[in-house]
Amino acid sequence: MNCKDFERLSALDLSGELSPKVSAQLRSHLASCDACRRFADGMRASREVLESWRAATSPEELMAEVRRSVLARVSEARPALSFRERLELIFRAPRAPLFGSMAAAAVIAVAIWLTRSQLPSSNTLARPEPVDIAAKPASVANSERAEGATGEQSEKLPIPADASAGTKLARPASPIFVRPSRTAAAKVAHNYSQRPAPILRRIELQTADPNIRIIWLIPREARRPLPEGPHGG
Amino acid sequence: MSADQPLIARAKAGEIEAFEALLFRYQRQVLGTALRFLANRDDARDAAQEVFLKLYRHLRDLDPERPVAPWLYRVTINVCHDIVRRRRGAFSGADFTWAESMPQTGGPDADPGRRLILEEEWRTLQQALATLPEKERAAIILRDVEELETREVAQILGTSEVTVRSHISRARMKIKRHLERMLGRRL
Repeated sequence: MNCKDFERLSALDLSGELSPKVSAQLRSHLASCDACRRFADGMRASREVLESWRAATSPEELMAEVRRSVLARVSEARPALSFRERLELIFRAPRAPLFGSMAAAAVIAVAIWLTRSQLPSSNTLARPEPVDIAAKPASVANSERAEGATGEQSEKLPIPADASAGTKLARPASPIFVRPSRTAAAKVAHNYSQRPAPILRRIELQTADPNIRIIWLIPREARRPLPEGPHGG
Repeated sequence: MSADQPLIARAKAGEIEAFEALLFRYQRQVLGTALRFLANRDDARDAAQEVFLKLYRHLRDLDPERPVAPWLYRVTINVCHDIVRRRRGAFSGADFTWAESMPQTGGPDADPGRRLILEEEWRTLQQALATLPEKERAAIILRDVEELETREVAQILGTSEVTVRSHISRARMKIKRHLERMLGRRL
């Protein structure tokens, strides 16, 4: 190789384009050739000017002009995608977490629906089964009989007079969960969506049926305190 | 999957905001390359607009597994070539200087003397680039200013790495000679 070849190699050596073997040849030549060494130094200085040019960025107002113009034309010429194309694009996009959530929600919904379908029909839940105190343990029954001796309490819990003979009374096989209707839930959610999460007051009432307990969850509000009941507090 | 893929998917679905985000992400590269290649403000603006409109029109053709940047560089260089060919009859001339994009305060370029030197060097460099054949100009901008690998430059320009090295070597030597001649000092 002559000096012209080494000049060409000097230009490439700046960015590590040479193989280790060729780079070693160049180093060896530069060590013994003043002219080529000066050329290599000049190449390095020239490249430093090029590198400093990287700091020069496009003027911001020119970039804004390009953005405005492109977005205006894109808005005008927005392609009208068919319904099918939109569906394809949506389902091709990576949405695994969304699909996972939807699948979980579907499984829960089916499980709830199956549970609901096994409950007795509403008319069999309308009235509690009369509790026969006599069937209770002797100690409890005796104490209740003693109270009943005052003449105010019958042995069985009161049943409305219109409890027709044709209505079948049944004890539910499993706990019955009562929840507000969708409308009511949405209303509550709306009322509290703009406020901090309320502190809930829990009130439990045990019915005559030991299997049925009525539970209220009532939000506490500072401005509207709950009225104190006889056992409240 | 490339980092651009979520934005591209949303832009394909017609979401203008996603396309605008892509525009923001790549405006510096596209406009900077066009300004260095064409050295003319209006031509570079037209080129950048055309590149981004092509991006919008070809969103559906983009390979989701590959980044958008090489595609944008390739289109930018092609659009710049077209503009140069179109304007040969009526040359619009180099009118852009990089002095206005120099940081005004702070940093190592805040010194007024240093700023003057940089302005002169950048202006001379822009002139040197204008004297290069288009292929050498494209190769040196992508390799030395945009800092792409030789392999990437070869893919963008649709040529071999050997050819790119040849273009880069020749371009660097010409730029060195031009700077030495115009700046009146040996680099």
